[in-house]
Amino acid sequence: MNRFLNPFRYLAGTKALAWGLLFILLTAGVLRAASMVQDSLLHFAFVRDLSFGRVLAVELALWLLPAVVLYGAGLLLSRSKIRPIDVLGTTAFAQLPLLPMNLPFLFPQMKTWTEGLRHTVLAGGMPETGTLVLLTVYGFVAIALLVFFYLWNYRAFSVSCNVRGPKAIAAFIVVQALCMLSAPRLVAWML
Amino acid sequence: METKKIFPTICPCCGGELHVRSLCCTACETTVSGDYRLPPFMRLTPDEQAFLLEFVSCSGSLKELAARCGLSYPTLRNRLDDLIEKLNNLQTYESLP
Repeated sequence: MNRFLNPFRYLAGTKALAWGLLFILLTAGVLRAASMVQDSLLHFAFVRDLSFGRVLAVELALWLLPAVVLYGAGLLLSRSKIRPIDVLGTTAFAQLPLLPMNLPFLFPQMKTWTEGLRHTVLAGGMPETGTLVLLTVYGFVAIALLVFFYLWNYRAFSVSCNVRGPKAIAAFIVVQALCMLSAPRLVAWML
Repeated sequence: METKKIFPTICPCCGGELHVRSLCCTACETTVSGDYRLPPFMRLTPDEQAFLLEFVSCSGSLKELAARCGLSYPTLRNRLDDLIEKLNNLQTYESLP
């Protein structure tokens, strides 16, 4: 259980970085296959004709942006010697929840259902019960994965930079908020 | 079977620091009495002492210790940094009159 809640107690450095880069590569592959792109830290959008290289570049940028800022925060707050490879490795590994979160979009029906739901709701209608149930279940799973995404990212910061307590939580929230504001601009510039 | 005794460093009644009042020679039974503060290493918890012994037995290599314990390098480095801070505090306390 501990390995699941805090994998970075056991894994960091180059090994974590290698796993993390593999997860990012696979996520980019899934997104490309589903004609999607991550256009912000927490948002995915459907796009047409975007090359795999570009989707991968966006994924890498959206991992590197918070990782580099968290490293900077660690340098300011920690009394320990921080290794950049640990911050990069652990934060890369923490991208894993994004992979299962996007896997269902490999089924073309997911796109039809989500877009259909949006149009129906915007038109003031009520979607079909079956579709609504499926998307609600997916919503709960996605929220659980998102919680893990943030939990692991915080653990990655805490372990790799040796910062704990309210100071670490506050710094993490500030960094995430800053990155959430700047990420859409970065992605817009990249696309 | 002989029970392994754990050396107490904290008072079980009030949580205060324990000092040594007397030392006894096992050969001639000479007893030395006084008020001696425990050295910093003795005031660490058994877990912390075991960690330091493991660290020394790995020639001070955190990478080797990480491989031996199955823990990550930053986890062990953080533990070592916490210990260094604790030992520094104990030494500062030691130097107080």
